[in-house]
Amino acid sequence: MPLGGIRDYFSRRITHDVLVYGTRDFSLAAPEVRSSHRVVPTLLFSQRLDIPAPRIRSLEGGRRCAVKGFVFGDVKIRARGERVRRYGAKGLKVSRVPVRLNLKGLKPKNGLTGMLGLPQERANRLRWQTRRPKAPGEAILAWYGPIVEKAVIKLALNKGRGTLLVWYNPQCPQFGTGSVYVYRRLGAGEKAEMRWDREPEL
Amino acid sequence: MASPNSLGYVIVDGLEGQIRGASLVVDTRGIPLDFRYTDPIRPTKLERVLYGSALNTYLREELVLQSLLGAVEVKPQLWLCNELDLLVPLRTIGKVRAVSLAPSSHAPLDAVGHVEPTSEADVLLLQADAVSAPLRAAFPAGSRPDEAQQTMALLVEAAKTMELLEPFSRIQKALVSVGED
Repeated sequence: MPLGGIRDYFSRRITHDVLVYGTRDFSLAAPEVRSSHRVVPTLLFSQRLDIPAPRIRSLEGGRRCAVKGFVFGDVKIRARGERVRRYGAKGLKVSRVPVRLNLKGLKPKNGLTGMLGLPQERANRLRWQTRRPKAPGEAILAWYGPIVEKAVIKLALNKGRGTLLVWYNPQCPQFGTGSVYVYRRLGAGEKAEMRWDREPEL
Repeated sequence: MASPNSLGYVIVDGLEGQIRGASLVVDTRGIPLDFRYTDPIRPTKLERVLYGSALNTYLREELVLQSLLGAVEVKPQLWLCNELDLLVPLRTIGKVRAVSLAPSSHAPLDAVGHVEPTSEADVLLLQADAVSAPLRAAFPAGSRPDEAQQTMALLVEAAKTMELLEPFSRIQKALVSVGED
């Protein structure tokens, strides 16, 4: 322990003296003083808006108002603008378009001659027919009716559609009907055969 | 004056933006007595825009149907169509009874001439002959029961000598044939 330390020890014990050291360079900087007054920058908001009146533009250069997407808030706005003016018709050309319906085809034509040449088509209604006259060894393929037999000029089977085509003589006064069954004999090489089924004479 | 024992069939087609119509009057064997048809009418795009949905009704009912029925020389006892919307104008313009006929997949009714109501008003199932499914017969709204009875009796009588729905397909074939010429 150094000598100064021993002296300080005994001095504290005996005389209760505490050695106080001084400082040679004791200087504090002056505290910075600031004002508590705050200045808030304020911007002026003008509630007076100038909205120009809509102008009608030419069809070529204009665009739809909806594209602009005008949105007005709840603030009441005084609007000032130009008066709505009438569009000058200088650049706009209005032309007349005929809209009368074309009624050229409306005079009906007489097609009776062609229609008389068309056959009537009878569908195969065998599934509804309960009467099935057949001999042993025969199968019924189809039933067509009613057909006015005495007025028939020609019968032809439409094999693709399974129908019977019937050509009538329009001059024939007969109305008595019959029907046609189509049979096939069971066995190889047998062709289909048409047979009349006549209503009993009254 | 209506020709006895005759039925008139009417078709008004509206396919591919064109409308055309035809009427066929046949005797009860299906033999033609009168056949009229119109050339197709094609409304332009502008006409379709200007007339809107009313155009179709106007063309079908007031122009095509009226001109067809006006041109027919052999007036039938009964007009038949296969579209419900033609029924009322057909009845009004044709000035005789009208019915709309369509096939059904219903099982045959008990006997020829039997009638069964359906869930739709003014539509009945009619067993016109013994060898087919019953037909769906629609009558103009507000038809009197006796009118419907007379119509059905006429149909049952005609079904003895012809297929009642067959003339509709014959008209279609005739129109195709006319269009090809």
